[in-house]
Amino acid sequence: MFGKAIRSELYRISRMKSTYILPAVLLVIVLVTNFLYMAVDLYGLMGLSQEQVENIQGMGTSAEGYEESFMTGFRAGLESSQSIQEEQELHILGEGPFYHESVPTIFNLDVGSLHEILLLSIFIGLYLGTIYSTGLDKNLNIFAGKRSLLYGVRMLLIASYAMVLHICTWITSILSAAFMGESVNLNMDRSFILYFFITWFLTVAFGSVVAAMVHMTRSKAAGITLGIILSAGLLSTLISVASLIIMKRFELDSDFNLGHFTITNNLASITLTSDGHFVVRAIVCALIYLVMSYLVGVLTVRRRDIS
Amino acid sequence: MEDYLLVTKDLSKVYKETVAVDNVNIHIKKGSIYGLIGKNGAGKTTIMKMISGLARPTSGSFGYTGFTGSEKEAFSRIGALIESPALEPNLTAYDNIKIKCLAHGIGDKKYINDLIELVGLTPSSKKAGKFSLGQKQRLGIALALVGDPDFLILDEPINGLDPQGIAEVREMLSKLNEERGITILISSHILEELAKLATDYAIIDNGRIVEESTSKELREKCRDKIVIKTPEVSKTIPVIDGLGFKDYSVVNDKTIHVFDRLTDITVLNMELAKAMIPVESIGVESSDLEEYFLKVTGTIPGERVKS
Repeated sequence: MFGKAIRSELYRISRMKSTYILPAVLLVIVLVTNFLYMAVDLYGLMGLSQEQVENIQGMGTSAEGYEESFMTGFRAGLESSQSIQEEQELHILGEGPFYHESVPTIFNLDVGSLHEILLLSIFIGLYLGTIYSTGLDKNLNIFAGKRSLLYGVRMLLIASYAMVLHICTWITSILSAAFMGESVNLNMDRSFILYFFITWFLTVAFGSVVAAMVHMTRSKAAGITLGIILSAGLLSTLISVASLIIMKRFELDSDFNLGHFTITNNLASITLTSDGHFVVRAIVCALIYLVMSYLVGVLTVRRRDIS
Repeated sequence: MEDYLLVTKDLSKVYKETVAVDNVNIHIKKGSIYGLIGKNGAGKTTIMKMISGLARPTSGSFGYTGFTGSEKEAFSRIGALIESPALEPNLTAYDNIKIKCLAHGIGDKKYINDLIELVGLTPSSKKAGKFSLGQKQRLGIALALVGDPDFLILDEPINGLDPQGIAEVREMLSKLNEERGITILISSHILEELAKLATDYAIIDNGRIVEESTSKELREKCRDKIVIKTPEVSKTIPVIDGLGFKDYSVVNDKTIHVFDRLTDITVLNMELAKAMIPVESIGVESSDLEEYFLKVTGTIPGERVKS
């Protein structure tokens, strides 16, 4: 029964145009992002001297440290550019901040940009939403008494699709290194492999939440909207304010942040060099989201009549 | 003891405060074509959904006594077309059928093409979303036939078909019933068509079964007849016998139906008068299935009496 369900659902996925369009879109988005970070001379545009650039690069160019170093550079650039702006020739293309970086670091940047979860949400919205917009499950009354199995199969395929997107991102990182970077340094060490699978797991957990949302609302729009809101960080201000309130109200440590318990924040923050505590917390949080959303989803489809 | 395929026992379905199906008991014989007659909203579709595993009964039960194995296994031997056909609009007829075929463990291309031809469609690259209502309905029937079911549940299968299409579907269903021994449960608002197919009927009104009968019994009820209403039934019978009427039946202690020599109604009336038998009414009553249905469901009060 499991094999039949897999083959049937896999065939349906293979006939959906979005199955092929979304990885292509991801490839383009990631390439554009990498182009900006690798082939656009951002430091030069800011008017930074070689010494200032070296100081910034000393701060680290991992995705985690990049924001800090970028802002430092931006401030320094603003100061120096005011004095030399008119004398300097404008160079847009050149060595970007990630020009010298290895493939894993570029991949880290690309995963942290959350493009994958946005496109995965769209895929889930279309894949599961169609069941409700067309009533396709009416045809599958062979699984009438085995709806949990069908739910599980669909989640398994969503997890597989998340892996496809993840690999697609990695390949794009390699292509970016080859065409826009200094050299292709694959550097597939233990930390990269761990990072690869942990971020995939976090993506699957996010997908599970979106899937449960689609099943609960019977709407493809709900899943897609959730994906857009979370991947665009539209809730980050809300989370920051809520963190502050909770921190003050319960007199918690100053490093308390609700974002540490959200999948998207962890996915954006985790790096190749993140400490064990951070990684374990991210995995545990993702696991809780995954289990909870899976149970909610299964209970929803089991209890509901098919129409 | 009849050889039943499906028996329901006090099957009920309540949506919030609306009773859609109220203690329904139907008995579907193996190899029969069972017509379910009812107005829109009478509960036909809900009954079909429950027995095909798409909806859970609120109370009561049903059993596929004609199948061996569990109830869950029984669902794999049922083909259903309930409400509108559930089609993936961006896929061809072939792809729509293949998705269901794979769920049943069938991957044979010829099997799919044969099904397409059986329902009068031609294999093409046309997407199901571009199909006419009739073509969609044919595809829905093809989907119901996937896996060679032993029991077909068809909810308004001739909806949207032109007269030729209706005749073709009727012929196809008769053939499936006769040649493959498929038991069919069918509902249609075109009662004239249903009358040409069904061997058994249930009339449903406001969620309740008003009447369950064989087509022979129903034909009897719908036949043209002289209806005599009199408080003296026992005295009337010798008069009827004396006039040589052969085909008559005593319905109750006040009603007699005479089925032959309808044109002799005047003679019969005169003889009853001569015998001093009080007659409350006498007339020729004619009703087809539709009129009969309207009469028993109370939509048309009273009888249509000719002469």
